[in-house]
Order: sequence, then structure tokens, then C-alpha cells
Amino acid sequence: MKIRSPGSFGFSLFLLMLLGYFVLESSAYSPRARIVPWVVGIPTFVLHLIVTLAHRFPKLLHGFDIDVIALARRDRPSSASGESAPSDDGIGPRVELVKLLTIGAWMAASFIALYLVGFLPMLFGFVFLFLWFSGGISWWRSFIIGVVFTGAVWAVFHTMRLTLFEGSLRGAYVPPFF
Amino acid sequence: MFDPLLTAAGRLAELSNLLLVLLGTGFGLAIGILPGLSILTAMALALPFTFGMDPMSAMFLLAGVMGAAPFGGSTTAILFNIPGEPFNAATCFDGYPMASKGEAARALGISAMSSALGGVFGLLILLALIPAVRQIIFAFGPPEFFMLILFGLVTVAFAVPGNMVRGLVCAGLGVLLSLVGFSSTTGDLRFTLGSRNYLWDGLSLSPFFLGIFAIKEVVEYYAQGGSIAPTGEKIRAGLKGTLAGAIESFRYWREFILGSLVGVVVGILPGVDGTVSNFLSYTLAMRGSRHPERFGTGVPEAIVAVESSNNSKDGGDLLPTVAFGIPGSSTMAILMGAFILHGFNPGPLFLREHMDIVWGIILGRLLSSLLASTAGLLAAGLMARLTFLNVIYLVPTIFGLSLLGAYAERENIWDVLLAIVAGLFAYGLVRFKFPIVTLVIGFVLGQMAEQALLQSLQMSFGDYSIFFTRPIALILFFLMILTLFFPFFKRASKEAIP
Repeated sequence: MKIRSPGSFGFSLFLLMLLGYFVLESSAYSPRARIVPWVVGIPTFVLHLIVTLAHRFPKLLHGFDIDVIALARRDRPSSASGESAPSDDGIGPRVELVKLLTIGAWMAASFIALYLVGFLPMLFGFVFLFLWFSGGISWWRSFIIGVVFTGAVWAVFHTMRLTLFEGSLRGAYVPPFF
Repeated sequence: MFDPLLTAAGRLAELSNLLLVLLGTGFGLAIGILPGLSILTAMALALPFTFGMDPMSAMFLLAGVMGAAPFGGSTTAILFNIPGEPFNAATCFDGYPMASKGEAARALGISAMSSALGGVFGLLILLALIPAVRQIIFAFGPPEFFMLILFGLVTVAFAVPGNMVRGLVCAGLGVLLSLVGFSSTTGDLRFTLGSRNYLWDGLSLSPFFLGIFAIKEVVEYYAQGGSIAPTGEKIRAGLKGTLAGAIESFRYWREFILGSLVGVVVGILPGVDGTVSNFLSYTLAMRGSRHPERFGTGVPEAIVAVESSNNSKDGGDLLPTVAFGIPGSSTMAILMGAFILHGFNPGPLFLREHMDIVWGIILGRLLSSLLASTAGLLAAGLMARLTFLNVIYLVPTIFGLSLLGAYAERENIWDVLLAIVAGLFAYGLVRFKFPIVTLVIGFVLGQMAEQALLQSLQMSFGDYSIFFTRPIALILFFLMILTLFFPFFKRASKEAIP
């Protein structure tokens, strides 16, 4: 039987690998440290393995898949496994993927900008450019919204005496990750 | 008994103290509405301003913040599907669908009234339970806490719309994510991918929560476009809709009492997060409803149950704090810090020696809760109109505020990255029908569960039967099994009916 939704199957595989990482990594820890990762991780892995395999063999999930809302209905309940495939919600999967990649790119760019130049320039730039290019709003309206938003943020943080990150290019300290 | 009450009431009636409650209320509401800035942030920010104040006045300011923040968090949950706090998450289930249908004002009205009455109810129960609190609190040890947390996790997986298997998977994943970092109970550094700096402290709750709810929502707004509520339709907005919702909440008195009782009981138990009460009350209201299939589509009784529970738990978590010096929640821990700052010694004698301060907190929270709800009722119509705005305006503003919120707690830029990654991950979960709420609950409760488990095993010298030989733990275990397997029995019995 063909897998109906490759995107859903791919995401399930990713989750399975993530859960597998937690279970396998735990074997390197002391017995006390691995109790909860194993007690929780192994059943979770097994349950998700069933969810993942159900993409190829839907009947696998039939016995386990319970939708409690469906059970409350007066008519005969059906298994919820038929609802595991994602719905379009009015936009095609290709359009959705393009939009997801676009917003992901905006978020990545905003983080890089934040890292380099700090919050205030990043916020203004993001609001202005996003509304103008992605939102289709006129450049002057986008500019005004950007200025007002950034100004409000500055005012609130200045009043609360909270410091905003100023960017690595301006000498702000970036704590180590590793 | 009445002298401390009269003292506190007299002090509250002073203009300067009334203004302090008002200031605390406004601050708490504003912080509650902003994603990422939680009640803890509000309390921590307000605390230094109490230096030099009279202790009673200081408590009025803090009580104002505590009383208002929960309702502020509900507002964003209803309008934007972004809970202000983890314990506002269940409000999204039915509040946001109502807003999507153009009934945001009605939902806010129901929320405001239920919050106000829940706060009053919780405080009244608090007063009634003061003599019995010792027995309740000391009946719960680590084995009982562990079973209660497990029961809470299973109940949450049961309550979310959709299927239970995915709910349990997400709950398990949330617990595993909570274990990232250095474990103070075992001394191990776990799942840090080689990071000995940033991930030493694990995944911080605030940026993780912001990413899961707020940034995920930003991605959804962008992907779907349009506006939150349908435009071009005649809907009940404005004060009329709000008042109609407020009056309508009185119809659901059963859900109100149930939610309030659950909130108080869970609030009393120290260390158990208020999120559990949120979902427990939602689940119980759904199970007791004549039309449980309507839950999740925007039903008023769901909002009543959840909102009354949110505010009544505040009465519950004050109890162990003032009766024993055991903070009932993180917010209470900050309040205890305020006690120490102002020269008080929190502990078993606090109730006897400083009952006027306790009354001051109670009355201050009561007033704040009523003020916040009134402000909510008056402003609901205006706030509801935000749901008709094109989401393209919401995307950059909410995203910007979320990044600020993620950064604000620890002033660490990597928290911002965590929020973004969590948001994209959460979008994938939601897109492919995994409930993110159970992920958050598992994350919040995971470390508590591990601590309780290891403490229990220490008590019993490694004997697991401790969970089955203590009556309360055993009862909770059976309730958990019942909750897990009841849907299967029900389905089997329904399929047997021709």
C-alpha cells in the first residue's frame, strides 16, 4: 500500500530518530540517570513506531488509535487512524511548503541580523522589510509601522531598565554555546 | 480572627494602597498579555520596587500583579491561540475557536466573569481549608506526587482533541526534552549534544514555551493568511457581546464549581504546576457534559471550567506558602522572597503571627482579580477587533515580541534561537496532527516527576512497591489506569451495540 502523505511519514521518521537518540544515549548514563529516560522513552518509542508504521500499514493503528471525542458521538465511532493524514486546510501542499520555507528564511535571517547588529535595528528591519516585501504593504506604511513598533519596544525596555542585546559587531557579549 | 481582617481591610481602603493595587493590576495585565513575559517576570520586576515600602503596601502591589496576570494570559489565548502562561493553554481549545467564529468579545466576557468568580471562590475555600491544610499537605509525599503527575499526564493526553496515542507520544517526548542538561538529582549531564555551556541548564521553559505557542502560531498565520476571524459577517462585537458572554457564564455553574474545586485542590499541593489543574478541569467538564463532542469547537462551558480553575488555584497555592513556608508554586516562591525582604520569617508560625499580612494578600488579590476582569470586560470589544486584522500585520509584531520575550528572561541570545527552532518544530507537530499541548505539559512536569520518583526510591531503598502500598498513590494509579483504558472499553461496548 502506498504511503498517502510523504510529508507526514518523513516527519514521523524524524521524530522516531529523535526518540531513538534519547533511548540509546541513555545507555551511557548511570543507572539512576537512565531510569526515567528508559521508563518514559522506550514506551514512547514503541508507540511512535506504531504511529510511523501505520503510514504504510494503517490497520496497525486501528486497535490503538482512540479519538475520545469521536467516542462521545451518538453514532458508531470509527477509528481515528483514518484522520492521521494531514488535511490541506484550503492551501495546496506545494504552496504551503513554499510559504514554510519563506517564513523559515525570514526567521533565520532575523536571527543572524540579531546576532550581528542587535535587537533594535533587527526589529525595525524585520518589520519594515517583511511588511513591504512579503506583506505587500506600501513602503511608507511599512516604514511607519516599523518605527512605531521599534520605538515602543525601546520605550518599554528603557522604562523597565532591561538591556537589549546590541549585536556582536557592536561588542556585545555572546555566551558560548558549546 | 477578625482583628487582622479589619486591619488589612482598613489599610486597603487607604488611597495610596488602592493605587498600588491598581498599579499592580495594570502591570500584571500588561505582562500577562505580552507573550514570553510571564507572571514570574512581572513579580520579579515588581519586587525591587517594594524596597523601602511598608510591608503591607508591598504586599498590595504584589497581590495586584498576582491577581491580574492569569486573565491577561487568557486574553492572548482567546484572541491569538497563544497562551500567556502554560496554565492558559487549555483556554485555547475553545476560546480561540470562538474567536475564529467572530465571537471573541463573548469569549472574553465569559473568561472575565469566570476568572473573577473563580478567584473569589478560591479565596473563600482557602479560608475554609486553613484548619485542615496540615492533613492535606502532609498526606502527599514523593510517591503521591509522582503518581499525581503521571495521572495528570495521562489525563492531558486523554483531554486533547484528536487521538490519544499521539498525545501520549508527545507527552513522553516532552518529558524527555525536560531531562536535557545537568541533573541535580543524579549528577549526570544528559542529552546536551556536547554543549557544556548553553545546555548545561537544559532547555529554558520561557523560550521553549514561546516557540511552541507563539512562533508556531506566527508560522501558521503566514501559511494560512487572511484574518483570525471571518470578515464581512455580522457578529457580536463590542460591549454588548462582552456583557452577553459575562451573563452567559452564570448558566454553567456546575462547570464553574467543578473547575474551581479542581483548581483549589491542585493549587494546595506544593510543587504541582497549575497547568495540571487547567487540563484536569477541562477533562472533567468534558466528561460530565451532555455534548462532549462539542468540546474543542468553541463551547462556553469549557472556558468557564478552565478559567475558574486558573484563578481559584491562586487561592490554593497561597495556603501551603503561608501555613508552612512551602511555596505552592514558583510565584509563591517569589512572594516568600518578598516576605524575607520585609523582615518576615516564612514558616509554620507565619499564619499565627502575621495574619493581617495574609488577609492583605487575600483582599489585594480579590480586588485585583475584580479590577482585571472589569478592565477586560470594558476593553474586550476593542481587543476582539484585533481578530479581524489581516494577519500579515500580526506576523512581524508577534514574532518580534516573542524574540524579546525569549531573550528577556536570561539575556541569552541562544534562547532566541531555541524559541525559533521550537516554533518550527511545533508547526511540524501541529501540521501532522500531534498535540503540542501534551508536549508542553510533559516538559513542565518531567523534571518534577523524575525528582519525585528518585526521592520515592530513596525512601523505600529501591523498592518500587512503595507506589502501590500507600493508599493515595495506589488510588491515583488506578485512576490513571482507568483513564488510559476506559476509552477502549467504551469503544468496545459501543461497537457491540447493533
